[in-house]
Amino acid sequence: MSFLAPLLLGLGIAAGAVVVGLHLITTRRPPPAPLPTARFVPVSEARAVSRASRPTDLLLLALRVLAVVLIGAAFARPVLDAAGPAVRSVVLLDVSGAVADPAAARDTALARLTPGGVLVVFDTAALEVGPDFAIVSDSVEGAEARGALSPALLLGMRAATRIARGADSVRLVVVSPITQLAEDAATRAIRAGWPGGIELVRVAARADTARAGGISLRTDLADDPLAPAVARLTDARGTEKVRITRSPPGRADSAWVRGGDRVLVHWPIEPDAEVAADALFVPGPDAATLVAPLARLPLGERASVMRAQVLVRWRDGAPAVTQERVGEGCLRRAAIGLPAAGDLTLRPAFDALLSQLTAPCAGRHAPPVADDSLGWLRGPSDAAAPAVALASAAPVDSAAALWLLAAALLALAAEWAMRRRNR
Amino acid sequence: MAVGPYGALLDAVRGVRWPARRRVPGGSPGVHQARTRGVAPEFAEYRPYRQGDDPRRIDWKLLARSDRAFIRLAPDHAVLGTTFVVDASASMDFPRGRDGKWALARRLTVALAAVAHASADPVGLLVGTAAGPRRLEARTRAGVVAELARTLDAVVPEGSASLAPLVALSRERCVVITDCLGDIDATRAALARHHARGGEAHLLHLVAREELEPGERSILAVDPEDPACERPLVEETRDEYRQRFAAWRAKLARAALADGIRYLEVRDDALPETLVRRIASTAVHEPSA
Repeated sequence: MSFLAPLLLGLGIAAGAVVVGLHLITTRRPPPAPLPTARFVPVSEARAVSRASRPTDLLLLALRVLAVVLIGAAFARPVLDAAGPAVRSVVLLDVSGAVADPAAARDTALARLTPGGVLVVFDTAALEVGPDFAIVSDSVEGAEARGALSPALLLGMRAATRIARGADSVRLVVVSPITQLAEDAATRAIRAGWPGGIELVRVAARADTARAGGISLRTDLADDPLAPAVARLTDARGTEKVRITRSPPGRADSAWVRGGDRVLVHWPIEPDAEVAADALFVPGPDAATLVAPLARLPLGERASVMRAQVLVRWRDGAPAVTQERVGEGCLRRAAIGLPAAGDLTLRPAFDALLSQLTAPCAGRHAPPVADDSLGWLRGPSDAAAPAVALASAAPVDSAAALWLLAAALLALAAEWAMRRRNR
Repeated sequence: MAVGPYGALLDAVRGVRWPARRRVPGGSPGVHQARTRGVAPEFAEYRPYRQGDDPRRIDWKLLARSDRAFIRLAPDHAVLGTTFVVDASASMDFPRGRDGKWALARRLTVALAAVAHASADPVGLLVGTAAGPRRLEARTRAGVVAELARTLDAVVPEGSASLAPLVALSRERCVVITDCLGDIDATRAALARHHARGGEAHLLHLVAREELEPGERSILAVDPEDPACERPLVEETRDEYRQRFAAWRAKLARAALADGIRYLEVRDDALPETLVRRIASTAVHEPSA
């Protein structure tokens, strides 16, 4: 255990010694004794300062000393240092769809986890888990297609400052294919906040199995605004791999999508839907933000939306496009109402949206970044970050302080009760 | 004379004489010079013969020489009745655990009574107790000292006692033995009146060693005759206590001297035989032993 403010603990102990001293110099009523000439003694309060060779009321003294020392210890803010090796590791494991062999990647990560270390799994978000966490099915249903370094680094650095107490240094390890989609605009700035090197363990990346194919548009509108964009994107010579239907999918559509690695997109038309300026965030290799007069359409039952994977979100985070596995294919629902007129579907951002909606079910996987271009991530050396640099930068909460204060209050309450009883 | 534990003391004061401080009233023949003139062989003065005088007292030789009748007068000696007024209040029973003021009071009384009785003076006793005075009439018979000792040994000091009324009941020589913590003002006034009437007044002020030097221990001093009087005797108050007590004793001594009372302050650890000699001496006022 260590103390964030050890001086206050010393003051508490000194105060306890003062309490003991005061008990030896007590002010109390002297013992009565007959003295016929008592009338000549000056009138004063019938209490005298007397020195005791040893304190009486030992229990009362113990309670007072305990309360004072506990208060000092509480204000000294004790922190329990976790026992463990001098070097602890924080392992960031990519569990996104970009990892070709998630089980192997997990074993690699666990092999680098030290006692007292922390395991963080990440795709587009990061989560601290125990070593026995369960890998999501390697069919990546529900898994994001890319592993983002920014949230992983943030969570990993926070965990490192927490485990730095009691260790000499903390090593940060990233187990990931590190694709072109891993870095975003904030990643390098976040990396600069780590005061040491980062060990990069490259695992195999999942190859993009997307094959070029045709995109068909089933619509009853003569001048459907999607038609020009679909025409630009489709491979007319390829077999139908993606079917966009503007009306609710029928039995034939369901049978079609189940039969192979196909994509069925239900993109309804609601001409009466209220159109307003809004924004869509489109992830993927062609990440973009589409800002346009759009309408938010209902996505369906809440339960089905909760089960589905979200591919595209509105600016407020609400799902705009969801995906569900259907047999060997997948069904995507786009709850985006397009304006009847305008050049929205001609913008590059709309192409990015349509590309995301027509990507294969497993998503589009970016290729891994070349190893020699990851120097910024690895750092000048792979040395672990010293614990001193991490511990001093982190605000540490002393959970024990509250318990010590509570114990001190209990001791004071017991002391008060005992004084009342002795009065 | 069987006087129990007082045997050694009585032996020590054997032969001590306690003369009267002034001429005693005439009366039974004794050792003290009386105010009256008697027919003793020792010549003192002549007085003209008056009708009624005993003709045998006429100095015939002077008559032959002067042709006038004178009778010879000689100094008379009489006894001096002595009453011991002893304070038996609770304050006299201090300190407990050793012979303190009460033990000294008993010894002084018995020793002085023996000295007075040895001069054929009647000795009596008045003990002021909370239950009322115990009285032993002044007598000259042989066993009066032993009886006086037995009476004192049977008394247990307790409560409060008034000594002033007892002074009025005493004989010519009144010896008050007390710690002066009771009705001392009234007692002193009574002794002053006794002295003014021609009597001999003695005031023996007994003080315990622990009252003079109460020690370093902090105590809550309680007056045994007034339990409501509780005062903390601590380091801060000890010096002032000594000053107050000493000032009061000095004032009492001066007042007694002014009243013609023979005052003697006595510490309870003083030797009784030494005190008896000092009391019987001719000094008027002496400080504590």
